[in-house]
Amino acid sequence: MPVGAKRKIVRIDEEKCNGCGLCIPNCAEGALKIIDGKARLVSEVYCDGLGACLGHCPMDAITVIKREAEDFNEEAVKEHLEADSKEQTKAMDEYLSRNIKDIINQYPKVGKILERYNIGCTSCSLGSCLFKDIIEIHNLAPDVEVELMYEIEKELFPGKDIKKRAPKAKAIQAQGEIKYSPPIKKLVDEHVLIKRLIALIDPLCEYINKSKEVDSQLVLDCVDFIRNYADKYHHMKEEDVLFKQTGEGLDIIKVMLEDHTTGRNHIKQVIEGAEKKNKQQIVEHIQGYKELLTQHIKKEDEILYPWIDRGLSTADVGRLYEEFNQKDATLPGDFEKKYEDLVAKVEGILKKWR
Amino acid sequence: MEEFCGCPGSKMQDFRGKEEAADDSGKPEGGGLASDSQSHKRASQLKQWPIQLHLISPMAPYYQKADVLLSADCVAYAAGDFHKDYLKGKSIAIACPKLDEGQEVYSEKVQSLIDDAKINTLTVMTMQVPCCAGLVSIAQQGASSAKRKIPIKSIVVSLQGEVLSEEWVN
Repeated sequence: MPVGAKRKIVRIDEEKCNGCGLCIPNCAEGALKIIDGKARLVSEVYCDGLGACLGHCPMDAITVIKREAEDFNEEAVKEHLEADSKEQTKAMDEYLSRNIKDIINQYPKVGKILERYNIGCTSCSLGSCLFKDIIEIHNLAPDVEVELMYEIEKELFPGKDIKKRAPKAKAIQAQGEIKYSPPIKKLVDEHVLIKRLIALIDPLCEYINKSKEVDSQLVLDCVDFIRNYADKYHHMKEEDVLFKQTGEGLDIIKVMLEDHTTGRNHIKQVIEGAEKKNKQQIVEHIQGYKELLTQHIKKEDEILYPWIDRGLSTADVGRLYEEFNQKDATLPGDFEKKYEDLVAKVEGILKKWR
Repeated sequence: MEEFCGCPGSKMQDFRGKEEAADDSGKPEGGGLASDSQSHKRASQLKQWPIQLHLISPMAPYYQKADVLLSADCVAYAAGDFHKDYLKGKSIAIACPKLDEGQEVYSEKVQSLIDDAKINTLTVMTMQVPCCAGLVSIAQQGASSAKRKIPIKSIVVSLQGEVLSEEWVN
C-alpha cells in the first residue's frame, strides 16, 4: 500500500467510541462507518483531515493527528460517495417494493410517522398496499412526499447519512376537497343512502334486544335493502364495471371484493337468525355488517375512488358513466325511490318506538 | 340538416386514419431526438372538417360515440399546446358565445350530438373572460334537454394560455 507524506488525518479512540454514529452524517466524504459497533475510517484516502466530524462526537473520541498516511483522493471520494448513494437507493427501493404493513410491524415508528402525515396505515384493515404506492394512493404533494420519505428512510436506516430525495411526484393534484368525476360521484351518492341505513343498525339492535319477540319483518326489510340496494344495485356497478376497468388482480381491489363476500356472509346469518327468531345471531351479524361497511365506505370514498378517478382519462369517464347507466336501466324505474322509501319507513318505525 | 352543396368551406371531410402518416412526417429525419429543433414540425391533430358549430353536422361519422371538444374560438390561440393536449383524440366544434348569431341552434346541436351521435363525453373549453362562460351554459342547456346523460367537463384557460380550472360540471 503506498504511503504518502505526513498529513492531518482523524484518529478514533476505540475505547471512547460508543458507536452512536453522530459523526457519520457530518463527514461529507463518507469516510466513517460503524463497523462492529465502533466508528471506523473506511479508507485513509477518503479523509481530508479537516475534522468536521470532531465537534459532533459526544465522547470526544475523535481527534485530528498528523501521521504518515495515503494522500486524500478527491476522485476516489467521488466514486465512493456515488457507490454509497447507489447502494442506499437500492436498499431503499427494496423497502419500497415491500408491503407497508410488514414494514410497520418491523419498525413501529414508521407507522407513527405515517400517522403524523394523516396516513392511517396502522389502523387500516386493508394492509395490502406496497410502500411505494402510498404516495400515489394518498395523493401527497411533492414537498410532503420528500419530507415523509426522508423521515421514514432515516427510521429504516438508523445511523446512516440520509439525504432528501427528489420527489417522484406521482400525486396529480394538491390535496383539498375531493372532486369526483360523474360516474364516481354516482357511487359516492349511493353510499349516502347506504350510510343512512347503517346508522339505523344500532337502534335496530336495541329494539330487537328489548322486544319480547323478534320483529322478523323489520329485520327482513333491512336485509332487502342491503341485498338489493347496497349489494345488487351498488356493488354490481363496482364488480361488473368499475373493478373491471381497474383490473381485479390489484391487491386493493381483491380486498374490496373480499369485503363484499364477508358482508354477504353476515347477511346470510342475519336471515337465518330472523327465521329462527334468534336475537343473538341477528345482532351479532348485523353489527358485524355495520362495522365492515362503515370502514369499507370510508376507504372507498376517501382513498380508493379518488385514486381510481385520478387514473381515468376523459374517455374512460364517459364509458364508465354510460355503462353505469346501462346497468341501472336493467332495474325498474322506481327502484331508487322504493329503497329511499324503505329507509324512511324503517327510520319512522324506530323513531316511534323510542 | 343544413346541406351546403358545393361550397368547399363546409363540405364534410374525415381525416381520421391519416393519423400515422401525419405523425411520421412530423418527426425530424434520423429519429426523434431533436424534438425541439427548427426542422421539427408538429402534426395537426384536427381530423375533420368543418369545425364551426353552425356548419357541423352531428351526423358526421367522426362525432359518433366520440369524445367531443366544444371550444370557444379564442382558446386555440391562447393555449400553446392546444393540439397536443386538448384536441388530440377528440372531435371538435368551435363557437363564440359573445359574437355568434343564431345561438338558439347551438344548444340544439349539442342536444343532437348527445342523443343522435351518442357522444361519449363533452369537454367545453372557454377563456377566463366572463362572457365566455356562456358557452358552458349553451352546453348545459343542450345536455338538459337531451334524453341521454353524459359527463361534461369545463376547462377555463387564461389569456396567457394557462389552465385555470378543470372540472366536471354535471
